[in-house]
Amino acid sequence: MNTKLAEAITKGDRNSVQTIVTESLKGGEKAEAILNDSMVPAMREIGEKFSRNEIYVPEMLIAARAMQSGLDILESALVEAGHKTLGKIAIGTVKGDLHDIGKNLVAIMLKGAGYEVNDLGVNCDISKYIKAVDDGAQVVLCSALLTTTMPYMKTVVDHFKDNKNVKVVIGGAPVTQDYADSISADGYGSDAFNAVLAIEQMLSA
Amino acid sequence: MTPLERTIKFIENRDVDLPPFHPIIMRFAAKYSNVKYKDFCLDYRVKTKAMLKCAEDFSIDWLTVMSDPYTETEAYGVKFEYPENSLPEPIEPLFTDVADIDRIGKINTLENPRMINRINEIKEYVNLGGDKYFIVGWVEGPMAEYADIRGFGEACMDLFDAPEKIAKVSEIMTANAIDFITHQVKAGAHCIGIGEAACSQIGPALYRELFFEKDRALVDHIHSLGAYAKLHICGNTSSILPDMIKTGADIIDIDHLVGSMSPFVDLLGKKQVFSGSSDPVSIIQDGDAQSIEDSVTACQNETHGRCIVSAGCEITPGTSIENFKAYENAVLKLKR
Repeated sequence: MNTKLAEAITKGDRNSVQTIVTESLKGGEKAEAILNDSMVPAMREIGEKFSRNEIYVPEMLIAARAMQSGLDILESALVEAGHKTLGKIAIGTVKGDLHDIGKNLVAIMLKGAGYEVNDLGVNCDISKYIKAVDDGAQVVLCSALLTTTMPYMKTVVDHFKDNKNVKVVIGGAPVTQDYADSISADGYGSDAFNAVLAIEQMLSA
Repeated sequence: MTPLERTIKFIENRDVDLPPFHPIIMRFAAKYSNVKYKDFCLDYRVKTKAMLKCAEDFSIDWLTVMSDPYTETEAYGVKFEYPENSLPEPIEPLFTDVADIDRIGKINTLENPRMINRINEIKEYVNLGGDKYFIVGWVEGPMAEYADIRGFGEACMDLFDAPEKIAKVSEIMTANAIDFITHQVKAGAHCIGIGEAACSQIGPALYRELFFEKDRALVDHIHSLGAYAKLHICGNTSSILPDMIKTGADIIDIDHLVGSMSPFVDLLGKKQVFSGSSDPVSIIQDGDAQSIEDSVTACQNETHGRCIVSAGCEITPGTSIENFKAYENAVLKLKR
């Protein structure tokens, strides 16, 4: 592990992340190794700290921003090296809801963990999720920040319930495991880190 | 006992017949009264009529001006469109660069249509409701307002990238909020709510460093005018709940995500109360009469009766009349 790179991510120091990643590539390090040995563990540590309430959304966001700045540099090198993703995920905030923080955090953590992410944006009605599945998404993530928009998650879950090739995972500030169970969602993420864990478990099963 | 008497006596720890019932109803009220949400947000006559109807039909003790968090945001220059039946949406980019926030300055309450509309809402409540109901005005706190202008994600990162700008903007926004508060109390509001929704996400260190003193200043100003203060931060506020209580707000809203209120109730001052905290979706919308009653009773038990009955966050428009009636009945059963 490149501890300086990992530390730069956890501290949200994107300038240092960009410098270290660029120099590491120039020095001959493989993009996959930079990603998997240093960057993914750093984001995982951030996710775990967030789950334990040791850090909060601002710290998560600047770490995710730093992570993304490194991913942007690695992207072409990863494609050249034939890096295969672990799966295709579609993520969107549900219809009527314009909040995107949780969604953005999960998207970055999923990309960092090796998934291909189709970010559907906000205010997503069922047609957006349907198109994403038609485009190959194996998991659909629904995010909501409002109690008044949460009920739309049931619409999405109900639509895909007979499709064995698609799992629906839900999350967001007002969402709970009980609610996920009540609408028969396939999975629930209590925060960004646990959403990634839920998907990892789902796709490796 | 009128709803106003009930609420004031309850806050002041005097004998009441039952705890006050203060559900946050915005889209529910508009739907129940069969009015377009656009009109509910923009026309004081529509909102006040809808809220009064709900108060009368469901034994609600308060009347509020709440509909969406964007009244001041529009005054700061963000343009909105108002869909017929959903929340206002910004149509122009929010302040997209941190340098833009240098443009934030003083706003004149009486030059901004939505702020004037809010004052008229309060006057209309006084006009129509007399001294019967507990009338609650509203302002956005500095973190919530900054997040509305900048976007929540960008605002969070600005806390680290530009703390000196945040400090300066918070001063300006707090001063503007103080002016808006004064107008609302003069119009007849018995209480002013302070919305600081975003603060549940930033953690205690940043809250204490950047926003606690501002929220306390707003509470102090409300008190100086002889009104009551309510602090509303939705989400899991467990980490900052002791600080919320220390602001001195008379009513502290508690979201169901906090879980049990028991660990915090002893921190309340003698004339402070919680307001909460039934789950508005799993219990109030999707539950049955028994689960609603159980939740209401549990909140009272957790707080030794020092809790205004509410859901901590907005009642959904999908809540059936049957369930809302069950909610009302659960409150009436608390008669002492």
